[in-house]
Amino acid sequence: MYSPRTPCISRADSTERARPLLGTTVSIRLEGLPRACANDAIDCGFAAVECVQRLMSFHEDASDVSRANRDALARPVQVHPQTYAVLRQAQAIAEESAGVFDICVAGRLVEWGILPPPRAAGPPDPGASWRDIELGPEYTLRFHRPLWIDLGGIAKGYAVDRAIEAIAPAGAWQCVVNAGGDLRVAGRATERVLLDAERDPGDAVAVLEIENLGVASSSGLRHRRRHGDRAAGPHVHGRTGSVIGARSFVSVIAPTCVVADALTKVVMAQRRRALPVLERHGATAYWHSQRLGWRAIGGAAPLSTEQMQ
Amino acid sequence: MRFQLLLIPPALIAPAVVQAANYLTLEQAQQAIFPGETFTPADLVLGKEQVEELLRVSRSPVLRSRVRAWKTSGGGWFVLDQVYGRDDRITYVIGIDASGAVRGIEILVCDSGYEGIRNPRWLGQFYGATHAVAGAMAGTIANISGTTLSVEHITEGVRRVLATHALYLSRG
Repeated sequence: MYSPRTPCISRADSTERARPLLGTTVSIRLEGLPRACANDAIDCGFAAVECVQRLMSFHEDASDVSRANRDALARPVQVHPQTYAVLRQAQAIAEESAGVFDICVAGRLVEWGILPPPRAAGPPDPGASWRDIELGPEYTLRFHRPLWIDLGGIAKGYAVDRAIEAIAPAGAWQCVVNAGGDLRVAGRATERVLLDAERDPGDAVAVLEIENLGVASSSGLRHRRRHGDRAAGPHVHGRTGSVIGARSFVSVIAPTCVVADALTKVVMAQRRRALPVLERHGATAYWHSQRLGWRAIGGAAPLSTEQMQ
Repeated sequence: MRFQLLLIPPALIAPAVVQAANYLTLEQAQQAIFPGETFTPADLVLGKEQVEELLRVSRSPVLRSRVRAWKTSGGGWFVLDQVYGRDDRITYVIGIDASGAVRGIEILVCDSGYEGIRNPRWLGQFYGATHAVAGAMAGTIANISGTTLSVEHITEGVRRVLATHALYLSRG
């Protein structure tokens, strides 16, 4: 683990590194630490992300998620406390969103060819939902119907939060962890984040300014595909099983990245009806479509949308 | 915790050009993966048969016959590689320790369409536009949310580099 060295704060020092993790590029930028200190701290950040990847990957046979998908129907499966924490968070958001967010959509994603079928796991019951997952004592979970879970809609945000936590003791002046667009900012400065929604050449470019917050964005636009005569994509409505976000782009700003990541799916499916869930988490969303432009939803934190001409 | 969304007219933004997000230099990456070690260039040029063998063993495209490699003072290898995705080009390095295990992977440069926004010259055009915008946007837009680049091709690249190490470098 990282052991803090003599603090040596200076604004001029900036170190940014990136690694292929979680199926995307994860970058960590630290400011105000000499390079050697920053490298040590960034290593701790990447280690935290790697840990989440190892535990929660749908693809790796030895992950907690794969073990649960294989065995949790037959007997309680004990998982790492971090996996358990993500499952609890996912179940809470599933309940708050009345099942719009549901980690049991993996069956649909496999059917559409977006995820590979898990090895040695029986076929899922198409009617199974988050309600069929029981979180038990001592970090165990059990399924009450055949189902497959996938934490792809929440674990990336969680990994970003864990990286921020792992880096904090180093005392950097500013820290940004970005996992393929799900990011969190910690420190004293304002960060600018381009919200990379698809737009026509004449449309405004959206730039978010944030301090000490998490941001996550989701869009099905660039991943649209067909499965038979139906639209398919990486985001699925937990209750209806249909694709969501095929024509919209959503960014959620929240105190933690795990919440921002999960809530993008709720906002994509429900737009303004997601307001109670957003408010509960102190989150705000920006929703965009090429036809309607940008809309702000919620605002537990101060909200100021400026149109600069 | 504070935030606001700025909607910037595109007239104030230069056309997105292909630019690079630079993370580490080669030397910085060497020190990040193998701190304190020294590096001796040990490039390798693959013959036609070796390219075919590599393709067969790694099941990954072999884009170049020249392998940019360094031997480290601790008995490890440091290999510079580049892979191409649909919209991006990633330059990265792999550190392989003396036992053949991956010590670290670091991305050096990621070129893609919107990354131009990081470029100071791009911002220079911005500052000249209006004072109000220049004040609001002083600094850089160093982050992008919404572009999830797939790293499938890095996975392929890593497989090819590890096969190159197993077949040729470690036996060299």
